[in-house]
Parts: sequence; C-alpha cells; structure tokens
Amino acid sequence: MLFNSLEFAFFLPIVFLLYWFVTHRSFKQQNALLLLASYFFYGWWDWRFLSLIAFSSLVDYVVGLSLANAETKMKRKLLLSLSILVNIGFLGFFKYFNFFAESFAQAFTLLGEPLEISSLKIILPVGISFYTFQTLSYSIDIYRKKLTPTKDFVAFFAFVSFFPQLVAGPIERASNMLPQFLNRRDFQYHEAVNGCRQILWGLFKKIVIADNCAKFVNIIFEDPSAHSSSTLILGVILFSFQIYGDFSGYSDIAIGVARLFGFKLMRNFAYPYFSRNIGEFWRRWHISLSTWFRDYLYIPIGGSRGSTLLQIRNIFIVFLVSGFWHGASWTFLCWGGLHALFFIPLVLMKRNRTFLHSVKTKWLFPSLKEGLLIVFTFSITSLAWVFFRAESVSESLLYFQGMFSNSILTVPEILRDIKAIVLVLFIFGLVFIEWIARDHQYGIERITQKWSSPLRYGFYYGLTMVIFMFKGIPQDFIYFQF
Amino acid sequence: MKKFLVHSSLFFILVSVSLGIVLYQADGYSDTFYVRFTTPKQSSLIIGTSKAAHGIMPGELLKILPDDSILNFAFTIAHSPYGPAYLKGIKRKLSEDTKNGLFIVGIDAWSIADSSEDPNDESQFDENKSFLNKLRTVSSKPNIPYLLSFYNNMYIKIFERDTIAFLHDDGWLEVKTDMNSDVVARRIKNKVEMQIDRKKRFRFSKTRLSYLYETITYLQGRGEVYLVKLPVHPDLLSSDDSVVPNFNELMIRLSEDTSAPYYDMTEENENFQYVDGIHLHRESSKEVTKRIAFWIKELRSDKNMN
Repeated sequence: MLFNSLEFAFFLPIVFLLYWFVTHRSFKQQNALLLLASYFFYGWWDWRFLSLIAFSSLVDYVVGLSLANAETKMKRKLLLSLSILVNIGFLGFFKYFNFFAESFAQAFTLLGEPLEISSLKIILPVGISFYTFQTLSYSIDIYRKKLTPTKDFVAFFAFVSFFPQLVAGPIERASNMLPQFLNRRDFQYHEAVNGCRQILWGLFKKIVIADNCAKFVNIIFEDPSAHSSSTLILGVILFSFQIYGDFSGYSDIAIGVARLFGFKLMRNFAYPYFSRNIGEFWRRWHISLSTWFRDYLYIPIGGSRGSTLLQIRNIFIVFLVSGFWHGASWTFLCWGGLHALFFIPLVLMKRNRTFLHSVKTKWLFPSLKEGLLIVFTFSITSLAWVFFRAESVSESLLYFQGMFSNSILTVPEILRDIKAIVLVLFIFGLVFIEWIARDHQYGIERITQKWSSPLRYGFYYGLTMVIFMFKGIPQDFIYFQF
Repeated sequence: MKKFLVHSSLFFILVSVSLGIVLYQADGYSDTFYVRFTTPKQSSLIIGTSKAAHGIMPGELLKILPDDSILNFAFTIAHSPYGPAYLKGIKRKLSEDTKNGLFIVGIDAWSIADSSEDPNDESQFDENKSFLNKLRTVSSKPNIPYLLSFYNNMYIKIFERDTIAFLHDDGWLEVKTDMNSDVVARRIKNKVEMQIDRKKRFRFSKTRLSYLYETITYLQGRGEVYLVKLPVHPDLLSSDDSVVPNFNELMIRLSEDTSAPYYDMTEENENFQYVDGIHLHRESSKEVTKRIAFWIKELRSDKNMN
C-alpha cells in the first residue's frame, strides 16, 4: 500500500479511529492492533512475504532472549552469528543472488572460460533492506549489552513491522522505539496536528516535486544522446530533487503518520542540499542509514582511529557497502565509491567534522563563502546521482560525456514545455521554504507557527489544493526497490 | 481529541467539496478517454484502437442510420487491443438489456499483436493495469473513480481549453492540428520509422485473436456486428499488415467463421488525408464514416430483401 494511494486514505483513518477509540484502554491492545494493521498494510502488496518478516522477527526475538540468558562468550557469539546469518542470508538471497551469479559468470567469460549460470526470477520483497537492518541492530545491541531484550512478543513484532516505517524507513533502533511500544501512549492534540502538517509537506514533496521531476528525468535518461548538454545538466538537477522529494517526502509522511499514533520516529533528513561539504551532507542525508553504518560498521572496523590510510580504507569500506546496500549493481558501487573519493580531501585536511550546525538562521542569505560551498557540494552530489539513476556504468559514462559539449550554453529544450517551467518554480518554492525553516524538523513547521488560525488553515488548504492540482503521474517510491 | 476530529473533519469536507467542484469541470478537453466513461450505458458501440477513435464519427453515422445512436468506445493500441481487459470494458459499458445493437469493430494487425515476452500469455498484457480492466464505474458524471485513479494529468489541465485534441460526447476524438503538407510529410516519415521500430518488438498473439473472436461472438448475441479495416497511408500499409503474417486472409476467414460482414477500406487508402499516416484527418473521417454507414445501410436493405 502506498502512502499516496486511495487505499491508504481509507486505511489510515480507520486504523487511527480503532487505535484511539477501541483499543485505547490498553497499550497492549493498541500494539496488537498496530501489528495486525502493519501486516495488512504489507500484505496488500504481497501477502506471501509476510512469512519472511514474521520469521525474521521470530529469529531476533528468540536470539534476543537467549542472548540475555547466555553465560559464555562463545554462546553469545554463536547466537549473534545466527541472527546475522539469517538476516543477511535472506537479504543476500533475495537481493544479491542474481548479481553474484551473473558477475561470477562474466568473470569466467573474461578469463576465456565461458560459464553459463541461469539467473533466478526472484521478486525482491519490499522493504527487506530496512527491516533486516532494524532487527539486526536489535540483536547486536543486546549482544553489546546496550539493550535489554523484551519478553513482549507482540510489542517486538509490532516494532519490527510498524507500518509507517516498514518499507522505507527511517531504520529505527530498538532503543528508541521499543520503550515507546512498552509504554502507554496518550493522544496529544499538538503532536497530531504536527503530524498532519508533516504528512502534508511530505505529500507535496512526493506528489508535486518528485513525481513531476520523474516525468522529465525519465525522458532525459531514456536517451541521453538525444539531448543537449544543458538539458542533461538540468536532468541531473531534476533527478537530485526527484530523489530528495521522493525519499524525504516518504520520511516526512512516515514520521507524521507515526505522530498520529503517539510515536516519535527519528529524523531521516535535515536539509542535505544546504550542506557545505560532503561530510555535512552525510550527516543530513538518510540519517538513519548513515548512523546505522557508523555504529555497526565504521566504528567496529576502526572508524577515525589509526593512520590516515586506515581511515581512508574505512571510509571506502563504508561507502562501498552503503552503495551495495542500495542495490545489487555496479552503478551503486560506483556511486558509493565516488562519495568515498569526495570524502578523502576532508580526511586529509581533518575537516570532516566541520559544519556540525546549520548555516546561521538569523540571516536570510548565506555568506558568499557558504553559498559557494553549498553550490559546490550540491554539484558534486548531483554528479554522483548520475550513477544512481543510470541503468549501467557505461550509460552513466555516456551521460557524463554528453554533459560537457558545445551545447552547454544553450537553453535546455525541455524548458519549452510550460510544465517544466512550473516545476522549476515549485522547486524554487521548496528550496525557499526549506531554507527559511533550516533549523526546524521539516519545511512548514516554522512558517505557520506565528500565523493566526484562519491564515494557517488557509495555507494548509492552499497547499492541499496545490498538491491535487499539480500532481504528477504517480510513481512508486524510489527507495521501495531497496 | 474532539477538537482534532472536528478540525480535521471540517478541513476534509472543505477539501473534498473543492476537489469535487474541480473534478466536475472535467470534459472532453481534459483527456482523450474520460468522456466515454461519463455517458450512460450504451446499446451500440464503435470499438477498436485509436484509428477508430479518430476515424469513425457517431454523429455522421446517425445522419445516415438515424435509428442507431452509437458511442465511439475505441481507445488506443496500448489500452484497447483485443484481449480480456477490453472485452471486460465493453461488457461493462453495454446496457444489460441490449438486443438490437449496432457494433462496428475496427480491426488492424496491431490489435492482435503483443510486445510481451510471451504474446500468448494474457497475464503479461500491459492493458491489464488500465482503466478498461479495473474501472467498474463506467457511466457517471463526474466519474470520480476514473479521475482519482486513472487520470494521468495534473488536475489543473481540467481548466485548459487550448488543446489539440477534443473528445466529443459521442466518443469521437477530434484532433485539430497543422495540416501543412511539409509538416504532415514529416509526421508520416516519423510514424514509418516508429512502426519499423515497433515491429521489432511486436509479435502475433493467438490469444488476442481468440479474444477478437470472443468479442465478436459476444456482441453478435446483442445485435449486428460489422468488421471494418480502416484506411491507412500507403507508406504504412505494408508495415501495418506484416506485423501479423497473412493478416488479410486471417480477417477474411474470421469474417466467414463469424458471419460478420467485413469491409476492407485499405483499398481506398489514396482517397483520404491523414494527420500522421495512421490517423485520419477530420474531413476524411467524415467521408470514411459516410462510406461505412452506406455500406451498412446497403447490407441491411439486401438482408431485408432476402
């Protein structure tokens, strides 16, 4: 079920009313309802894969309890290995089997020994990369004795499958979410209104920005050789906003929906395109995944300890794994590798921990230096998106080649379409609103705060009508495929 | 909670009413399919792909066959090739008590071909995802389910009037476009190239042919069925027919097997003007429709005399 679908528009109010009016007397009943609703939400896409979530949850539930009782280090290690094996095993089979089989066959062919390995028709279960990481972190945290396992079966299963963030995150930690499932939730008017407001902003980013960008991006990436340099550059910029609108829009909706049920999910995006270097970008983009990799991969392999060379090695490992997490393709590995390369100057100059806060909020405009740094960071991250969007590495290289030709100073041909101009205006609107809200959780949290009630509701009404009137052709959320 | 429910309900009502007002404005300018799902259920239909949608004018038919009020229910090659989805759509659009309907069935090779991996596996047909398969409400105005789930434009387009295409209430799709000979020649050249490219992907589908049989048989139970192969620009005829080997023989056999009269208008190709080689210009549509109407009239009078 998609957040921007008609089915969800019926599903959400029904679950909301049942949650607060039928099961409100006991948080255990509320958890049971959430569990049922989440399985229904997921089963709407493909009920066969419910067993996979259930099995993954069961393994980590049992492993968690066993870890708490295990006395020897060996037994603890074995239990953790079991959890990793099952979770990574599922992920490896469903997501990476064909990639490895094909790459293996290609390698043999290159060595002059043609090998035929037939690939399997495997359907990738939606959200598997997200809930697998969520359950893994639970077992690892218990192993590290940072978390006490829960005995509440329903609460744990509801935590793993919690429908607002089940299929595309944020990837929650049990330490943040489980206590919320194990305590009473009270309805709070301001939280619910805040949730609705965040949902509205997320829908705007997804339906107006991302879906409309997709139309032009698809045309441009379909045949890059048919377009001028300036159009290809515009195509990359539009894709940067498409993926931002799509994924941060999804996260806003997820966080907003969770708020309606009294839950606080972690923040997943903090205006990444206003970053002044790549380090800051990664502290602001897909925060739940970046911090997951930081805590469970980067720090365990050494992190920023040791020599510069070791630090660079660690950064490459993390970015390549992160690229591979996104998809079983060489393009994602290139994307990750490119970001690791962008990071090296910061490590060498020891500047990867600069810019820990937003650009000063008391001024409307950034300083010239900050402005240039923001434009530069946006440009390099946009260039890297080419690998993310293209179907193959060779296609990406052709795209890069096309971007730098004599036609770079021409007017992009897609701007002859009035819809493209309207879209560009919306993107300016998005950037402006998010810029003035850059020290707040999401775009429209701030701008309506001091307004009178009629003006505020007028704004929500106007934004809702804009979403309806300028909706793009509905597209699946990009991150569903991961 | 009470405050929240009151506020959100009022907001929801306000937005729903506003949206309802916007959607009510949707008409023949809004898209090239919508109006066909706003008319009442019908007893006579023109079916086929975009060739028939452009080429057969119900209003002109009515002048010659005054008892046959008919709706053009033809879509595009992507939406209405013969198959389970189109048959389902036709059944939904026909009123249950139809007994003496008139059905003009446009046939061309593309409508019994498919580009999927296995052209005979109906589960792979693209149109399974379309409104013809999924839309249950086919005769309400405004048609909210269509507009919410299948309208593939920005809703702001509902207010646009300056469009090339206009879908009339009788389902005829009128296209107002530049008919300068150079422009038309360029469009035909593009279409030829497009069809050559398309031909590499499309293959004859036995399943689609059997659905064409089934559609004809179903409609014969509801009235008279006439098969028409509409004209096409001479430059496109060979590529059109060669998608399905022995297409003409196949259609003649189909006509004999089902006893549905067959009118092959491609023999008159030279007499008409085309927008792009495939779709007729409106003056030619008028002429083609007249010829079809007179052909039906003649067949009927022959039948009556016998």
